[in-house]
Amino acid sequence: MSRTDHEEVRTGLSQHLAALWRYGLVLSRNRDTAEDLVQATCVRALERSHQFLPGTRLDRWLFAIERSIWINELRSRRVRQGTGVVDAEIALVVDGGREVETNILASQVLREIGRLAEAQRETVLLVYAEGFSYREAAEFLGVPIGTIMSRLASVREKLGGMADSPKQRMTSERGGDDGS
Amino acid sequence: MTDPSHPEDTRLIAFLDGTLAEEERAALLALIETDAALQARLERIERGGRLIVPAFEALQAEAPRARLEDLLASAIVTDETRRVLERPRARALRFPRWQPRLVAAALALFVLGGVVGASLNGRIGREGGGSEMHSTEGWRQAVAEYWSLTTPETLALAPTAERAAAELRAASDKLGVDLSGAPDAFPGLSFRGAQLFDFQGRPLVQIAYLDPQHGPIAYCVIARPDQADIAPTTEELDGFTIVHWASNGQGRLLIGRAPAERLQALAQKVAG
Repeated sequence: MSRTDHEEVRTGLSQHLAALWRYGLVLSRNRDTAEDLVQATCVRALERSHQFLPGTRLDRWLFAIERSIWINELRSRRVRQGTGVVDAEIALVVDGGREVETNILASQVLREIGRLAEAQRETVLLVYAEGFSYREAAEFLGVPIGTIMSRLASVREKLGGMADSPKQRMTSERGGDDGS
Repeated sequence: MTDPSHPEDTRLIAFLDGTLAEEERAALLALIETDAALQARLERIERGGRLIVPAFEALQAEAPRARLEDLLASAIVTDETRRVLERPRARALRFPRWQPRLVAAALALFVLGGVVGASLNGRIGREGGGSEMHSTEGWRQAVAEYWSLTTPETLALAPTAERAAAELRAASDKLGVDLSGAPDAFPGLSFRGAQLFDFQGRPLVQIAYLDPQHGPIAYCVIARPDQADIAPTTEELDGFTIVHWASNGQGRLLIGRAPAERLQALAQKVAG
């Protein structure tokens, strides 16, 4: 293994911690699990730093590791523990202590996103927050491009409806959905 | 799978995201002109899209950055430990009772201790007689092995005053020596916590410091009731400088990658 690659991964990790946490939270909808995911991703990435291809995007490589840990290790554990759905609305909100308008709206939007199926949640995050192209997202998630675009339209349409009547949505009951 | 009830969705998204080819764009606009439902859907999708980026930005701003940095630091230590353990095992032959896994676990506890309030008790070596590790040098070798895993990043976090006091109280009780003055014992060194180990049945306390010039330095005290006094002696072990001495039934040492004169000067602060 090249020491330089290892150093690159090690240094790069610290720049992507917040993004890894957010992705982990969007996947798991649980803050503890999101932190577990970040730690496991860090350990795995350092362990496998020799597999990272210099010149390619480190964040994509880290996301792929995190996703694989989620799917193969943590998701099933959470389902077994019966905690797959319950905290959707606890996790995907921003600090209620800061009652500024932006955060209230952001919390409503995140709560809506928290109700979506996992595949929709991560698609919308990867494309709109992490800048994946449709093609990149399709390859990353192993689905056709049309599926990616259809998921985006569907999520945006739901959120667009929310913008019609935010107050009503704010008080609506939770309706978790862990399907994909 | 695309949504069969909204066949135009992919085109609407491409249109809004600016990725639709020019001729398709014109065709879609023409279609929208004549289809009110489609226009309404486009507007809804457009509205919904505006909300997404700010929401995800707000979420990322919520990331517990300090804790994530700690998680990374502990992952780095885990990784460094694994690398050390995977090195050729020549040393294992020299020191058959060396317990690398226990050291790794102790190290993990040390690093995570400040974060999750883990147990103060680690364990180096194990009880039992007759091995080389029982020799006078054994405990210094064990400390050097352990200390070789420590970097300035390992010691990046200083314990809170309460935690430091609790660590030193536990260590003092176990060892029967008052170590409460340890944080201020060495001018110029920044105290980074105390940890209690067991070396072959004897309590061993390791107090960590960060020297701005020379990096991690540890001050260790082990109970050695049967040992005669030794005057401060300087040696090199595994690339470390060590100054060790024994008095009043305790063995003591200072270890670090620092010049001998530096450690000798520090030793004078606590020896005698």
